Amino acid sequence: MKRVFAITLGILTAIGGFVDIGDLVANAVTGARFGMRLAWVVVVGVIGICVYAEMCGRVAAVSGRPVFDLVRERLGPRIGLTNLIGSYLATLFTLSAEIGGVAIAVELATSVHYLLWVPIAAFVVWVVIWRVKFEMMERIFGLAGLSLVVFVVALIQLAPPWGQLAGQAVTPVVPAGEDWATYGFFAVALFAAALTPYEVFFFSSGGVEERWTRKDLVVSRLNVFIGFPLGGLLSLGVMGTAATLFLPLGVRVESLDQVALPVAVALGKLGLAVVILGFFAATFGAALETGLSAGYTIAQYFGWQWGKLVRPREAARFHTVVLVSILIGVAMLLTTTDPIMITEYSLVFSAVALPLTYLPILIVANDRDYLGDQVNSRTANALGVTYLVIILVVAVAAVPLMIISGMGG
Amino acid sequence: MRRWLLAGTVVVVALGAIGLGLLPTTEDGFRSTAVTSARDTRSAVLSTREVGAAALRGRVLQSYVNIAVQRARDQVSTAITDLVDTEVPGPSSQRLRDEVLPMLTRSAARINDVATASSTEDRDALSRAVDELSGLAGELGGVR
Repeated sequence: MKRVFAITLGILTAIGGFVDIGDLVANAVTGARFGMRLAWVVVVGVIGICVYAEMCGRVAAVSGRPVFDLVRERLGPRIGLTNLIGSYLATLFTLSAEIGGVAIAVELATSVHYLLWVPIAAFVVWVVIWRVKFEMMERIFGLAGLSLVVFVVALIQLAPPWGQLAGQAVTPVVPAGEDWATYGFFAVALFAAALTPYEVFFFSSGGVEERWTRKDLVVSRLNVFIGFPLGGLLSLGVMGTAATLFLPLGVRVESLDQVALPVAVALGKLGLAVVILGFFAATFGAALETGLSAGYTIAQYFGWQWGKLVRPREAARFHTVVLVSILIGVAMLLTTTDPIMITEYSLVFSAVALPLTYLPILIVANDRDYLGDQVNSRTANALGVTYLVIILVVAVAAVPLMIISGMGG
Repeated sequence: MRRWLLAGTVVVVALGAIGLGLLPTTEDGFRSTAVTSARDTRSAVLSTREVGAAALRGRVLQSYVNIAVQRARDQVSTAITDLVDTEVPGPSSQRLRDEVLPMLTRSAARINDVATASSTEDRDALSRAVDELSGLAGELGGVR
């Protein structure tokens, strides 16, 4: 019974933890402009994150070591460093965007300008990373993030033309008034939002923090194969509500408050309060994950003591990296650059850095020295290689599409 | 040799980019700016209309209305600045500017009306502002 409870809790956490500011923004923006015509990208992205997160969970459970640690050992310091730079910068941008998201969520509840909340939000993120136990931290914010289910409820309440939405989803063509470059740019952004590099590093390092062993492979796989797809459904809920309210009006989504508007229209003040709580939980949880991931990647590359299993004093360099990363994230926001713009840039940068993250994972997951009989099956390799090709195409196309479409016009 | 080639390419590209920025605005370029400003303003107007309509039905928190309206105002003021800052290349662009600019300024005023009416809980004024935003959205949609 206790095990069933643990598995259920893990799945719920994975659902709530899947959506972050990148998913919220990218899904709402595309829903408002393209309806459900880009929903297929969410599906492709969720399958991709499942394939690679399963590999990472397996590596952590069988070897007892996180992926980044093994990447440096298996591929050498040079390739490891390239991986480190790409992944760290992508994570840093995302961290900044998440802190901005937390500040905007509080702004929506208080009317006090988000820039005043940025230092406070960052301080609280740092304190939680410093003081709160890993499992509790993950559970609280993952479960609170589940309040984003309100998007699915709102979509049903809005009574959209289901046939029309389904029609858009199954005929993914560029609508009138848009062009291929813009369509491609948003497809790249949605794909990158689903496969953000920090997610796999956090998942694998989290497995080590929770002391996963071979016995936990089932838990890991259930979290991945049930939790992430259901998290993807929340993303589609965000896209669906934006498609229902904004697309017919021709309104473009450019801020987080607009993402919440369909929920307020459908469910009133209570729905709005729940969605603001969801924004807060999703972005705060993701800020914790990205802050920790920034520390994980650098500490694991240099072979420092890391994580929350040891006292902060024993992992001083790890905690210093986390603190410095948070400060850089805050500095980016205090330039008054719009957090939504930082989010969009973070998605493009993540897209470019994707091969640096995922190719090494595929290599390590095939190494018998680390995984013994648990190396990738043929199916896992076929899917892994297929996704690697998609990731390469996305990485190459990201910057040209950004330039041609003028960041999505 | 390679370094010089690379440095030369960078200099040529940079000069090209600067040169493009210094070119005078064309009639088409001006029209494109005006249409984009009208489109962005229309988006802000319709978004505010939805917020105002939701406020009339008591479906949104006042803190949310304040932020949503503030964002819409910022969006419209950016659109106005973009249009005002663009050089007017000829008489037809001047006519377009004279047509679009008043719509943008009226939009900013009506968006302000929503904020004021909502904060003072003046339902009649809010209802009027929402209706006027609908009319403005129609006018802005006609800018091609």
